Amino acid sequence: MRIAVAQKLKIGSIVLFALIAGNALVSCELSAQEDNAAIDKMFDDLFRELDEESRGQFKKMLKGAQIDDVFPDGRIPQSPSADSDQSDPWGSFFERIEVRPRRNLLRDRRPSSNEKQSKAQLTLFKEVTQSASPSTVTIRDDRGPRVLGTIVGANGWIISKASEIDNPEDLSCRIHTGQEFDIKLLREDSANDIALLKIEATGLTPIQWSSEPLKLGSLVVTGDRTGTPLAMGVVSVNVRSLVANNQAFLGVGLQPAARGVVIETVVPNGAAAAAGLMLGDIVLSLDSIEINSVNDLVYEIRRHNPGDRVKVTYIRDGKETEVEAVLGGRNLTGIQALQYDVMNRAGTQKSRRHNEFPAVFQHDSPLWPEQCGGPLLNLDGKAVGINIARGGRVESFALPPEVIKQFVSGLLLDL
Amino acid sequence: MLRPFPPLPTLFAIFVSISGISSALYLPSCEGSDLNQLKTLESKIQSVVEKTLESTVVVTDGFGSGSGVIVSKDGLVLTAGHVLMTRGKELELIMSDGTLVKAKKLGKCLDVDAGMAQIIEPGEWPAVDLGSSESVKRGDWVVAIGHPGGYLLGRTAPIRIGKVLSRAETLVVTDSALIGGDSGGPLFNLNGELVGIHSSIGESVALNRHVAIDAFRKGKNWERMLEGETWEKLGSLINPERRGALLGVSLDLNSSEAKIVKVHDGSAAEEAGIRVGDIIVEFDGQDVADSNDLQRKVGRLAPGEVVELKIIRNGTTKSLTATLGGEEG
Repeated sequence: MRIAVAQKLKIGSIVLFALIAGNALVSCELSAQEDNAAIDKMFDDLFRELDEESRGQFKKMLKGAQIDDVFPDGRIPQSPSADSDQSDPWGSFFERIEVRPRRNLLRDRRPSSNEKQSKAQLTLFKEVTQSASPSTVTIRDDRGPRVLGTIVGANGWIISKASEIDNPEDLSCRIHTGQEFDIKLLREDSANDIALLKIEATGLTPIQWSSEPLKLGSLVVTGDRTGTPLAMGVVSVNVRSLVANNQAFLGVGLQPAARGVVIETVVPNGAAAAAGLMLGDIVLSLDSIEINSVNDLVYEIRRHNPGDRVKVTYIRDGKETEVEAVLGGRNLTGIQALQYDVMNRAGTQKSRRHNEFPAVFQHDSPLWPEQCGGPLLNLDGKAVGINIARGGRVESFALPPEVIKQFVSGLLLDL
Repeated sequence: MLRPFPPLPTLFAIFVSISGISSALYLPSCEGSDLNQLKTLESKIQSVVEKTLESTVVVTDGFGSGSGVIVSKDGLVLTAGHVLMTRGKELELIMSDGTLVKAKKLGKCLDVDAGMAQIIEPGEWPAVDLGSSESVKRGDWVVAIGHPGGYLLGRTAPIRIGKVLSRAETLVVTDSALIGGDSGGPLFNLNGELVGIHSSIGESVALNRHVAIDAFRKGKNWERMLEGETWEKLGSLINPERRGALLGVSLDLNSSEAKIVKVHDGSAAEEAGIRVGDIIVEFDGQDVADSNDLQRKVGRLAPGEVVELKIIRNGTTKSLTATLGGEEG
């Protein structure tokens, strides 16, 4: 399907997404002042290839009809949700696609027996994960496992995911024998999101790193401290930088002005264009933050993520107005970024820190955030990296051994 | 150039199962052999990637983008029908090495979401071989490539793997994870042959739908698309031409199979003996892939029509007959 048919995701609701990264829906405006009739016309234009009835049904779905049971004849219940705002159809549509993490639904979904993550399939990797279990630990809080960790020194040195370890005094570390230890957080590398932890233990088995160059299509598996395989996948993309690739853009060229900054160019199909900003408009503030220079505005914009909505106050023809813009990304417009974000939340939970890593490689194992921090293993039982984040529906990220080794060797440790 | 439809489908199918990758068979413990199985699988996947990565492209009109795959040396590209629903006829393809190449849209069959494009710059292009989706079986491993999220400079097209969860004549459902931007990208079997084109996803990460490659060759589809024809409607993917037939069931929409979760009182399904938990695998003589596929098939029929169904209940297959209900008038 071509558009993101996104509604409140409930049990039994079907969400069929088109896999095109953006489409003509891009050109639709998110301004709260948009006229209903103009939207309808735009919609009709975009979906001219559909028949009347299908178009009507799509519109209803976008405006909030819930699909609980879709009957085989394609009949869709005609009940826009009670809080649908008819004067702001697009705005409220995007509000409705806020997906609350549904921890007990797709997370607890049991894979059917012919899926790649079924127990029968994962058990094939048991030999591999069991060999690395002595080097794998669980970092726990009082509610249960928080994240995994990797033993890098026999005397109790552990690497884990820093952004998940904000309160080490309330956390404990469980090793493969079941023994539990208090944790000391010794050092953090926030760029790579790694933390060096120390437990009072000796005689542990440090992880063995693979020395082979990483190859696309290699099988990888993640196990827990007991040697149970948690998830498998393949190496999807080799090591690259994820820094500064998720910047937000308003899509304007700017010049200084006596007060605020003046818009000198408007990028077609950019966030500013979609919001109706024009050449000559003078921007005074962004989200109530006063703009006094071009740098001010660029800095404020870059602090956001693609898909974020910002309020732009500007002067045109002597009149001060405010408009809402949806910031775009380097390659995606604001709407595309939002759609991508919805798809990324379907049945997936990203790690809190899932971006801006200087050097990571990518694999398609469907890890949950608390399954990161431990070693990622190849079929020889050696670690090709440490899982550092679930990035989204199709990607998990791992730090290559060089990053860890550099961090550890930079410290004088009696490993 | 278009490879003739494989003349030896039987031999091909045997080859796939002899390679031992079908993990519908769980081999009991001999530790060495589990790892050997996996190493064989791994080396096949790596070969597929080497053979096909170059042929996977980004398809863009400058605003939105999807993916595509080159299937002939002179630059014929297969993609999803909906990727071609852009204004204008010009397209730009981004090759695996980042070079931009001009292409033009050809035709699309929106009913199955198949589409074609043609590179219009001279040159010899790296092409993949076409496979046969008919020989693809549940449990087969597949390799999915595409450009999720659109083109990212410095990122090669991410490789994913999955298993075939269900298959119908024009649709393959797998658990190789896809997302926006992947549309039109290729799905390969372990021989590196093209067996599907990415189309849509469901809510679950394990629910990913691909146009079966056989849909491109069904009837006169291939010739019509080459000629630049566009036909059928995209909406028919979830809202088939309604002729009013009703089976009277609710389906598990997150399953990769057509699994019944509710049978409505007094419905055609109840009469036919369909029960909650049944999985419908055949409808009116055709394989059924997932819930969506079943909805389309039912929707194409009229009330009163009598159909044969095959269901799986508690592991056994049963044949049932249903007289479809429907709207009055």
